[in-house]
Amino acid sequence: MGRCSTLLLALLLGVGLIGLGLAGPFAESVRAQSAKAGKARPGAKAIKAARPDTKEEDDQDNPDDEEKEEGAAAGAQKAPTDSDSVLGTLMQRREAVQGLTRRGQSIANAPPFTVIEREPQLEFYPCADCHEDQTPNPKVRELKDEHTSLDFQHGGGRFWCYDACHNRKDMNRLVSLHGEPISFNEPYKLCGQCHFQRQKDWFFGGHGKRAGSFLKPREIPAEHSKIDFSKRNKIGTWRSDKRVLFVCTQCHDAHSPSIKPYQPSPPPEVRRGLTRHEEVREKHVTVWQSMEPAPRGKAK
Amino acid sequence: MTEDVSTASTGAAAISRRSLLRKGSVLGAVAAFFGVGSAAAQEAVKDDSALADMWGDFFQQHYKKMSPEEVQAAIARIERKAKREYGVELTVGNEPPLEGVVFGYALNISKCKGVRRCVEACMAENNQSRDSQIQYIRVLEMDYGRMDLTLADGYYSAEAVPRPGKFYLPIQCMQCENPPCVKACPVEATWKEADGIVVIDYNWCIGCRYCMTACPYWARHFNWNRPKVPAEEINTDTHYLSTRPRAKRVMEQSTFCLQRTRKGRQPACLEACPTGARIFGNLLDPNSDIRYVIENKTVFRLKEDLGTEPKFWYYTD
Repeated sequence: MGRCSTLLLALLLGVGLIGLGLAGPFAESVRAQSAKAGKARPGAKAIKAARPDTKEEDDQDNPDDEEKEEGAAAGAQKAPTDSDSVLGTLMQRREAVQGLTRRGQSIANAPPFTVIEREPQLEFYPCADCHEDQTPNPKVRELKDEHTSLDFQHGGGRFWCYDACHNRKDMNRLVSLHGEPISFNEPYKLCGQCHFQRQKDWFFGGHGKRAGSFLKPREIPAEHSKIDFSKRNKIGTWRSDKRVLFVCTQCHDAHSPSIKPYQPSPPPEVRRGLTRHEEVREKHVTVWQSMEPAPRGKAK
Repeated sequence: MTEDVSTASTGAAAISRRSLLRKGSVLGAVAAFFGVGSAAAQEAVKDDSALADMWGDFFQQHYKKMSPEEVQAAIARIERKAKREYGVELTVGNEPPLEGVVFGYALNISKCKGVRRCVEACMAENNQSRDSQIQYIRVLEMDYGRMDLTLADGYYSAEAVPRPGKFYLPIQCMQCENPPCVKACPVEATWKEADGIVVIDYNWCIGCRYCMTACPYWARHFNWNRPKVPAEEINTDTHYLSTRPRAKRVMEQSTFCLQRTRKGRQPACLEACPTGARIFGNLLDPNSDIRYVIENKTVFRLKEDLGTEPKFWYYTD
């Protein structure tokens, strides 16, 4: 029995070593992660990253693979009781593998694209102009001096600046959960860490918006105003080889991401000779049901 | 032919329809008597006056039967007429369908919030009459859990949308692969192009409205009046088969902004949508957005059981 277990151990060790060998440049990160997390799962991920062919096939066969893996990983960890401790665990892992992982950079087989840059559109960019001499304050508090208009609704208000997004070491950039700096022009790398299914849709064109001539999202005020069509240019195209995309934060406010209600454009005129029956719709009855029986005359 | 005359009559307000009919019929009779055709008639009246243009319109052939020179002459007449009527320099394109392209559309009803910006952009792009009810896109407000179009409200107005308990279903021309409107047309004024877009030759349309009744998607619209568009709001980038100014008593419908898409650009409704609910692309291109949506999302088409094979998919996610 003892011999059997020794053989099994040796076999497992061999498989593990082969796995690490294939990982090549990521071997270091794998070791760091394995040591910290105490399991071999990141090795499989690193092999995938090192061999893009495998990743492509996997992604094509089953687009939900990523989701399952993430779920399995969450299950393997000690189930945290609340979201704060989840974040805490993530932060610890981030410190451990800082700057080594290349996860979340792209999705295999996605058609190439360029994006409309966000940095020129940001009001306070470059952030380091003000934050250079300041020590980052991780304390959750009400902002009174600057950024007072920010509405922290993301994740039900659980996130604070440096928890998962802003980079306290380089204020001009964001940061991934693994500590990699991310440009403000590429927020999809950051958002995709949690919203990976949306990210995949975005990469392939099923979510988001291509750049076009008429309107940029979030330029529409809440109250209806006429669209200015004089600014017609020709950047938008439907061709898959010339994709210009709006990034996540062009439509979604990163601090309060849900799309806010708009006032709709005016309705069409009701056709001449017809009237709109409000009550027909309000009561959920069809026209014939809403008709009252004709008054009966007193015949006798 | 009556329609051709009425089309021409919009060119010169000074000439009434009746007098033009009289003149046209006399001239036609003379032309027929002497055995001269439209080409000879054009030769006879070489100037570019309104009357000459009317004459040219009267004898204009079906779009598909015209030679390239005749098409160019027709386009020149349209441009001159626009200059006379609106004082704008119109560009009427004649781009043929692109090779290896069949257009398809998808709309995410989870994302559509019913703001009607698509309608507004469509009106501006396609030079639709501002005072009539002609709007290619109709955004229907519907109750959660219902797909009963008889209870849908296309005339909703609200302070803010989406309203609770409602979802929004925009409908427009679905560019059917098996279009009933084309079958219904008695004069073949409407047909499906190689890129899958159903178009209308406005000069050939007799305004019988058979296609309007044949369409199950309420997508065909009839110009009961002469379209009224303010001159400063006219979109001058047009196409012979789509955006050019229409006349009274002709049909029209969405062409997925043919004047834009055949140049590689996106339809106006898509560009105006603030929520990114609209997806457009080439159905034959495996890398296109539309193919990704059809292959990976739960899609449905409206009134699929009718066998019209619409190339407009709705999806949720």
